[in-house]
Amino acid sequence: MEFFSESDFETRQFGAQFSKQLKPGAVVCLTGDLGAGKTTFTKGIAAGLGIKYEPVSPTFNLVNAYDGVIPLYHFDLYRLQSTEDLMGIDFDSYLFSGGVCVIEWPKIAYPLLEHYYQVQLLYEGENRRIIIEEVRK
Amino acid sequence: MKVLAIDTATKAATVAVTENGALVGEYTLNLDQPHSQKIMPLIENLLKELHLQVQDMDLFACAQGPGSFTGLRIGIAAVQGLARSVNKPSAGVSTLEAMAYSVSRLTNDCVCPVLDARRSQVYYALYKGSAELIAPSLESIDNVLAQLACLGKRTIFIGDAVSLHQNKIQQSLPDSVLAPEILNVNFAYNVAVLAQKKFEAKQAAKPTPEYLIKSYAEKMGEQK
Repeated sequence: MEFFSESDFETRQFGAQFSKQLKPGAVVCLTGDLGAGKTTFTKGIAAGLGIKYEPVSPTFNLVNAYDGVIPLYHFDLYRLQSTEDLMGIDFDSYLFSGGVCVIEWPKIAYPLLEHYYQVQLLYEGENRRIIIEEVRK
Repeated sequence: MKVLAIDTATKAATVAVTENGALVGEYTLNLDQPHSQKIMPLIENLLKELHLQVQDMDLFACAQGPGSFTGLRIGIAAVQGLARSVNKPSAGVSTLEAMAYSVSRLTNDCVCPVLDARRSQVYYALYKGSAELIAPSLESIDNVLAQLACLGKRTIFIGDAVSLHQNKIQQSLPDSVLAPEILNVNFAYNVAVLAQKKFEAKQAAKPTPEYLIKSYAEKMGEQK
């Protein structure tokens, strides 16, 4: 799946569209440089899932939890060093909770994941190419 | 000696008060609700029901791991907070040793407490009477069964992972005994009795978490 976005608004829309295929337990790994739109895309996912609140960047909190029919757990793992650190915030509890996990800076999470969506947000000048792949190990 | 003990290592939230090793009262809830919401009201209600107060306790104890990371933290924080508030000692015991404790006193067979660690893995240990044959570890259920098959001793399995893996256990170790459901829920009474025993033997220490986290991360192919 691929999208071409020319604005934050479109990135958000694509996030909402994409969210329709997310079932309980789904994991979404977002990669992209700073400013590529990872959190914007996540706002779209949240809207698509019917979450009442708009997600904000979890850089400091590590994870933000949002209530919903399917709860949303929004991670930013930039500040953690290793998979062991990730275990230390009880990541597995979120992963197996039946909610949707959206992970920014997912490198240390990959060893714990078997099935996830890989979403790459790539700069193309002012615009973004959003490439989505389903990964099953 | 009065002991207040809790176990929040698994789904069950359980609190018990013992006096001189005998049970005075125990509350156990086995619902899918966060321990952060359940455990303090449970403690408060139990004490109230028993007409006791926090300061009447001589020792505060909890299961310190392995188990749910968040559950363990909640339990350890609660016990340390209560103990400090009345300047009394606290003690942590191994979740697995507490689970095995009463059963291992009934039999010469080996007792293997098993807790679900997800991904077909279990936290487990092996006891024979009061001896620890295998220290608390994390392994895939297949490796545990292979290891125990090599030991060749009849084993009683107990804990929340029993029902999850019962077919495998019965196939690999046909003469093993699977504990009935009544024994597979963690009850704080076990923690209280074990903690008092250790305390009196001067082997007790303040609760510190034993997550076995490092081995978990390594097994998953840790990324840094």
